[in-house]
Amino acid sequence: MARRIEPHRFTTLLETRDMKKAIRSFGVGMSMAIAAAMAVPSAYAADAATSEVAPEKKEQPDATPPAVGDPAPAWDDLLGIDDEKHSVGDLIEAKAIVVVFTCNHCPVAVAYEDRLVELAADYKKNGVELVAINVNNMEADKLPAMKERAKEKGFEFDYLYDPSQRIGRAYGAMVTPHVFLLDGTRQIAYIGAIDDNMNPEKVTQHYLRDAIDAVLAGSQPQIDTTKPVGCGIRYE
Amino acid sequence: MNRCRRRHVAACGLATCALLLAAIGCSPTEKAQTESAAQNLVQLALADRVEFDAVLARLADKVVLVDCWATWCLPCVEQLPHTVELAKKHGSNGLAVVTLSFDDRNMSDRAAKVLVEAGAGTNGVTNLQSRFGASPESMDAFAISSGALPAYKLYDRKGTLRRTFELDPTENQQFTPQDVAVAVNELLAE
Repeated sequence: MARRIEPHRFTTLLETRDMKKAIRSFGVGMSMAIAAAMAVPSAYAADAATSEVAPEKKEQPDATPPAVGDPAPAWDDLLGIDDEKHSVGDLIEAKAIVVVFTCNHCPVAVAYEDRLVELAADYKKNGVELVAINVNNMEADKLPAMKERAKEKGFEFDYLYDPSQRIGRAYGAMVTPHVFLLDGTRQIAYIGAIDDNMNPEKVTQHYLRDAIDAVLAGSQPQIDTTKPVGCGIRYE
Repeated sequence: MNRCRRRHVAACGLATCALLLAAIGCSPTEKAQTESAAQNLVQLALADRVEFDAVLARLADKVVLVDCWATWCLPCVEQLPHTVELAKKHGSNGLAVVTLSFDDRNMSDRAAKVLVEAGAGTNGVTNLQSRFGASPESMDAFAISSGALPAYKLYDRKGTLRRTFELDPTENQQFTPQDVAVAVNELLAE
């Protein structure tokens, strides 16, 4: 009987910053070899006769998105819903910055809007800034629609638009919503999901809030990477 | 006497309600029946990773295309009919198609309805739903590294995962349904 093994458990093993950095330096092909060598087979695959190849990934070292511990890509002069240009340098006083890639059309992103409003309000007094960035170019996502949504929902944070999509690619943003927490030195402290369920009533893990609390306390988040869940960003 | 009158009043009340609902056109009952009928046509089997692997094992000797989707993912819904077309076209040539929904359980009926509309209720398509719903746990369990849907996995006749199609912001061009179709053809030709 043919059995299937997938490398998702390898990924778990590779979640630490040092490992990821070391592996990236060897290149993607070597990383898969290391991952395969370190793999702990799960119970159902313990007697697997065949092993699977990892999901293919074209080698583009220069395009590798940043990982936790890396310096955060900067955004410069992105137009906001206030028709002003915004840069990361404007937030020099912030003790931490939550960068969230979001958009208007995605039901998952919409499901998180109220949570973002609450989070921004809760942490403003602690010197944490929230910056929402949209890089989707669907009509429903463009600046006029962003302004409307921000007004409707009472966004009290920057909501920026990058039609070039460069900032999304620079961060390696995959979905909406996808969050990147920047610490006081503007290194990335957390990447992933806001919490563990798009339904607010079913949330049991507050990944982003926990990570912010850790950064404000001067420590590293216990969980610094999670899988984001959402609508794939429509890169063009 | 009083009991008789109460029955009469109750009967009149029910009749009035029925007339009112009929006048509205689509009653809540009808809507529920439609959703229920959709669910009857498409049985979404809940799956964790072990159960998913068991389904794949049962499809040994076939090329297997897994379409990871969700009702909250608009491109996924748009692309489902394309996946069903592949099942129709290549089902007799050894292609098995599996859909894997990343919806929460309270969205099962909605997912079933979308699957019926896409033609996945027939054509030999196996329809699964992640036990973990729309959560990071789901993405981990099924190794969707990007967390973005739609994503496709393609297994060869030996059961080896040969291709994955996921969003990749480092690429200039993202995959298309045509890319999936080409890869299916390639594996079927092996």
